[in-house]
Amino acid sequence: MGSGNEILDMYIYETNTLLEQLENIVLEAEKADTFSQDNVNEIFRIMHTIKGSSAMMEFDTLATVAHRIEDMFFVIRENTMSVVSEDDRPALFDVVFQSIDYFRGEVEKIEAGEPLDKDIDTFLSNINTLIAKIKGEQPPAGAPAPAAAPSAPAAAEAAPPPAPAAPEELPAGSQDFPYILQVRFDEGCGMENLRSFMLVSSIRDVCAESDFCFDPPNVEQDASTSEAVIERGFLLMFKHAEDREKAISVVKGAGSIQDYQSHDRPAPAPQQLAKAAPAPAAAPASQAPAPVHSSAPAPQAGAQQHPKETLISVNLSKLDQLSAVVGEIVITESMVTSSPDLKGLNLDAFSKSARQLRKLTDELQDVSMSLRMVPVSSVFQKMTRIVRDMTKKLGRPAKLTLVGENTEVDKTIVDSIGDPIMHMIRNSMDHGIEETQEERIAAGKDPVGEIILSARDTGSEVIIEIIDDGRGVNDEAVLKKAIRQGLASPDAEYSHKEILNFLLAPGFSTNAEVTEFSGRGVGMDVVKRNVEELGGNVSISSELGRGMTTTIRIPLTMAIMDGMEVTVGGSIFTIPINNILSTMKISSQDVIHDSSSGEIVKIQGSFFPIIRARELYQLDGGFTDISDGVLLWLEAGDNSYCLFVDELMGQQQVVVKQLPSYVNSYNIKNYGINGCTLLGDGSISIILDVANLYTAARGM
Amino acid sequence: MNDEIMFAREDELEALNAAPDDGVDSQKYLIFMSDDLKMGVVAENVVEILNNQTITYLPMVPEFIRGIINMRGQMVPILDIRLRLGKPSLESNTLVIVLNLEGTQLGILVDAVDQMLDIPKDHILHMPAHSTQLLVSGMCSLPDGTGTMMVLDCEQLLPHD
Repeated sequence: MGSGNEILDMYIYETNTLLEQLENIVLEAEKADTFSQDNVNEIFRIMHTIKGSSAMMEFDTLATVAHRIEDMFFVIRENTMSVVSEDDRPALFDVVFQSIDYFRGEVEKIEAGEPLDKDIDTFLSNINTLIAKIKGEQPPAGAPAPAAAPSAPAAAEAAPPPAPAAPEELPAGSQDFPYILQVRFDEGCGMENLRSFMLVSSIRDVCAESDFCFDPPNVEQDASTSEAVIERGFLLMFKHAEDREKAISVVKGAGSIQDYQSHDRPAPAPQQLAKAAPAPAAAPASQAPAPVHSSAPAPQAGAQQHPKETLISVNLSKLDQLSAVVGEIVITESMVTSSPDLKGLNLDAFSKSARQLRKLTDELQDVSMSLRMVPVSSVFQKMTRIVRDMTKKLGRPAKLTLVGENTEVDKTIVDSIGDPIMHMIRNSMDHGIEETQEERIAAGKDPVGEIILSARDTGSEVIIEIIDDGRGVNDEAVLKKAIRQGLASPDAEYSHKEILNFLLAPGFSTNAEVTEFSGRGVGMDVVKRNVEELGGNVSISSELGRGMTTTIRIPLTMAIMDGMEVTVGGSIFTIPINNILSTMKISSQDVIHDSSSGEIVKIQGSFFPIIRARELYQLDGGFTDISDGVLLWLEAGDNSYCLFVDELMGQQQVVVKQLPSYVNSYNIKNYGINGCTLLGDGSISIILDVANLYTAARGM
Repeated sequence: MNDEIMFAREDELEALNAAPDDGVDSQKYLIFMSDDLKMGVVAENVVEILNNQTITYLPMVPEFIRGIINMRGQMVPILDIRLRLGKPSLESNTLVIVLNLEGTQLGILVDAVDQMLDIPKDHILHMPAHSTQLLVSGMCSLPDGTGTMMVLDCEQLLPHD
């Protein structure tokens, strides 16, 4: 942002967070086709905050729009959702979504320092029409006077007891609200009425709305109330003393407050005690025990306040630095404790401290890793919205099922997978799901299309799959198109897999028409490039008529994992522990030879192929007699096999380092060479990817 | 060895900075030996010179990539200039010049490091058109008359896809 304006930054951050919350609520609500009363209250609160803070920042257009939406939900809140007829509901959801987009767009403009869109009339009139519609359905006896509709909420909020007007020495107020808080703002700070209003909205967070009122009542709309606020302060009146305590802490936290005073109004009958104490200045604590109103002081308020205070945002580069240092500490620790200088010495105290150090570095590592891990749900949730919008626009009903959205991955990955996933989802909607329901029914499928977006963590990589149950890829059409685009040669023969790969080639788009969502021919190769930048890869599989699956595999960067160190000849390899089922020694009689000179071994009643690391990687040294070395029984995904190596060196926690891109350009990842790690003595061990190793060995 | 050259380079760089206006557009070259060939690489690309490194063998890459080394926690691939030029490699060879080519760190394995020289740009001649010499983008006679330097074409060191 770099505006250097902390208040503005905070405004942008807060508004964005609220919009995200709002979007989630509305998406959920749309599925249920109704807003629960909780939802309505929440939306009301969000709009209220946006309105208040936008007005404070003098973004009037935003405040106006927020105000209208608030009006609309006010009507709904007063009359429950039944006031909105079934027919109007889609329009209601649309309007809310439009407003979210509007706010997002405007906030982006604010962030970029661009002027705001002044023309909001059409949008406002849309909302107004909808409000009118909703109201039209209302029984005429309904609560807020129809004429006063637009200004209804503010007036109604202040309505419960007729607000007192006459200033006395002790400010007047309804007998129902005996606990008074008089707030004075800094002299000449300006906009006293809005500041008062901001105060009210923050107090609403800690105190139920029916439990307090304020004077002057219409600070929100009437700028002239500033005068009154300057003259006699802004009065807040509470039913319960506890609420006032909470409000005091809110007031303390607010800006431009000169001072505040608590007053108690002589209570009507039973509370004689309070009368004796008109306590002008502070010491409000002494009054606390007096009224024993144990009527739960807004429990949800506390819950909302806390997470805010326990979260801080940290610059990602600092976390990068931290993980790098921690990684080095872990290596240094093992260099120290396994130092060759210590060989043959009997150091009890040292070993004890070393063990302790090991434990602590392990902990440090876990913590520093967890700092960077965030769930993918933020990205996944956004996709729900995209599917929803496209369903409407394209008229193809489809639902998005999210699986494993709580999978935690590194923050940098979360930031970069959004675009690729969005492209693939759009692609599935646009090209995958059948155009008409009839077409789906004819194919024997559920008329509602389904897209499954799933994430899972295998320990060494994150696998994200986008599965649709649409038409699938028509090989012939793709090939024709590829030939037309000059990507394929008309004479050559292509396998199913090769044809699918054309989809990922730059400049390829199968849809004849360019649509709003996809079909510009830049989608898929951008997906591929983005994912490859993260060190991952994309693959597509498809069956005509059954749908398409896109698999994105991304290695966990900077991952620390448990590995088994093994030697083959002079080389050291690391195999992820969670891929190892067991290790064993066998003799040459146990090996069964198949017709194509492959070797097979029988373990627990099943047969598994043997892959010799030495032969696969054409290494110079290493054992050839199967009884000299060790067999590792490995499993990755659906593949299970045995890897023959020379020796096991032991289990170790290793920091995964990417291989230099120079050597990666030789596609060694396809041979199961996934990365490397530094061992305690500074030597390098190569980390193997069990799944790719198997594929490579089978392809030979 | 390492220190000497690093110091020499710094001295010479200072000298270069002190007298930038002598009118001649020149460039510094680090000259090294590979087989019997004298080759030069633009000194700006040189990160450092390392001796006695253990090179970890990396399978499934072309033979001329000898493997990777650990340079203070950073993985640097090592390319054997002899093997790249199709000559037999020296078994005992462990002298590595680490280069930085457009952000890619790459070590080249050479026989020996010779000297650092300032060579005017117009002294460097293009290779004869019919030449099939790999990895070389130009050549020049050394001013001290000790022979001819081949200019290492760093472009060719980077992988092409």
